[in-house]
Amino acid sequence: MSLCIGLSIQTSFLMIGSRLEQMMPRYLAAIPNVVIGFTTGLLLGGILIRGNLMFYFDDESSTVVLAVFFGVIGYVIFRGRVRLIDLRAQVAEQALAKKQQEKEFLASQLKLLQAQIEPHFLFNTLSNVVGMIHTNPAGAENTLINLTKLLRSTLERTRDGESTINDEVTLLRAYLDIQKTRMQDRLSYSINVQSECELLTLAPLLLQPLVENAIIHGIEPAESGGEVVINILFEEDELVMQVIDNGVGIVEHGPSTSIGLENVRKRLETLYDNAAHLYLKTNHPHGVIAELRLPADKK
Amino acid sequence: MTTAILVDDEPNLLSYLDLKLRECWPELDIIGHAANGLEALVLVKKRQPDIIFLDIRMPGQSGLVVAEKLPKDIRVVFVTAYDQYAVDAFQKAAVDYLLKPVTVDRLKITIERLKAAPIEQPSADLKALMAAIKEPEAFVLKWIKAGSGEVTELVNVDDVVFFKSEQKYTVLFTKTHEHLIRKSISELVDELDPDTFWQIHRGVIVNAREILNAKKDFRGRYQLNLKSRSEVLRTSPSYSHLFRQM
Repeated sequence: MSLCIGLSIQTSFLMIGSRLEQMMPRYLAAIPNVVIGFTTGLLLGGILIRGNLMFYFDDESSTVVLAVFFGVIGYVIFRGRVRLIDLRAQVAEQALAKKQQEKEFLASQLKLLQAQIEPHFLFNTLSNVVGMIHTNPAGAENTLINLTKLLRSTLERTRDGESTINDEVTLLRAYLDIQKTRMQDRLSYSINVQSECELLTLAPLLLQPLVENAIIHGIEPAESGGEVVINILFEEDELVMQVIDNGVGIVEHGPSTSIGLENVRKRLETLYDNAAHLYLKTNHPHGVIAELRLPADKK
Repeated sequence: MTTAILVDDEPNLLSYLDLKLRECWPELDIIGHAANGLEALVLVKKRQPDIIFLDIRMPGQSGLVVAEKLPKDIRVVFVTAYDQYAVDAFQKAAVDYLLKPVTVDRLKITIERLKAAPIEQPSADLKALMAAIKEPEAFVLKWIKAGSGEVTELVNVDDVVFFKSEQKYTVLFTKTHEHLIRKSISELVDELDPDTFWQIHRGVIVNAREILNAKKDFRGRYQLNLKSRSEVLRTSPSYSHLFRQM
């Protein structure tokens, strides 16, 4: 019966409490709630336990005092439970909001990254264009066209966030052609894409850093240069992307060159949780094989 | 007649410098081009030029390394794509330098200087220049070759959670994988960055960034819980001091 009173007070709090609290201070609002809840509780208790709506109102007053006592305890119990549930919900909400924030922060960072083209690369390319203008105007023209392609698609990707394998390959060709203009015979490359993969969508900036690494840390430091081979294919239910170079390879004690790789790893974690992997292996007789494996649903 | 050789690994930049030099200094006799440090040294020996225009970033030996090996009576002009920060270093070291792409105005200044003092070489402090320009040489281990036979996987040390010796080998644990490697724990201790990798036991090195917490047991040793692996690592008494203040 006391529980009935407690429950009723609580219900009253929930139903009209907030409205009352807008009109008067919190402690005053409690009074009508207790009165209404108490009365309802007595009526409810009477009808449920004794089958008589007015049972507790024609009994002697001791029952009422007792009922008030237990009613208050009942109220405290219910109130506590409701607060606990509210608090839990709040904590969960905050955690969710925090996670969302972190995701957004990462996304914004990536956009910034995409928008940047490495300044060294840009200056080098422009120096080469200047160098070719008199002696090789067609080469200068080509390089500027490739640079424009690269800049445009970098901007577009900053807006869209996704591109197809085909788009990505176009971009890589523009990049590699520019590098070939610089290095000429020292660099050769080939790109092999399985036809089923061509139209798959792919998050940008996964493949490009691997190719940049192959050039900057593999082929460029090699006096005789080398070759970059890019393979994109399905293997069972995975999309496999390999960037293979026969350059100088990774020096165990070399300066840290892993900023690009670090970014790729972070992106894989954000985009695919633990379902995607980046492997680095030594190529024989020298060079590096970088291999990306992504879960893929063939479309 | 004053003679010069030009050294750059990028053919377009080499031919452009050649073109501009001929325009601005027709009397200069350009007697050869080289595409890397080794070729440059061979060419210098063979032709003994008065002046060398030397690119800094090249495959193989850098231009700075080449400059150190040159006879003292050759005047060196560095040609570089480095930025303003490095330009300060060039000025301090009293070497002549040109920024790529070479502009005619700037080239003329260099030519005037070369004509004014054809033989005298300013006391260039190449060692200081090398120290200033080169990224700090990292002698710490960055990559570990794991596995054996045909294919070796490369593991970045930052991905390592801990190393543990197991009989003759060392096992390397990353978040998700385990690799057998040939380097011993004592070799690794010498080569790894000591700020990040802590030896906590004769046979265990842990990546300090991967330690979640350290709990002291009743014998005064510590038990380490890791952030991304479930193994619990025990310290031996001689390494416990690492965790006293944690």
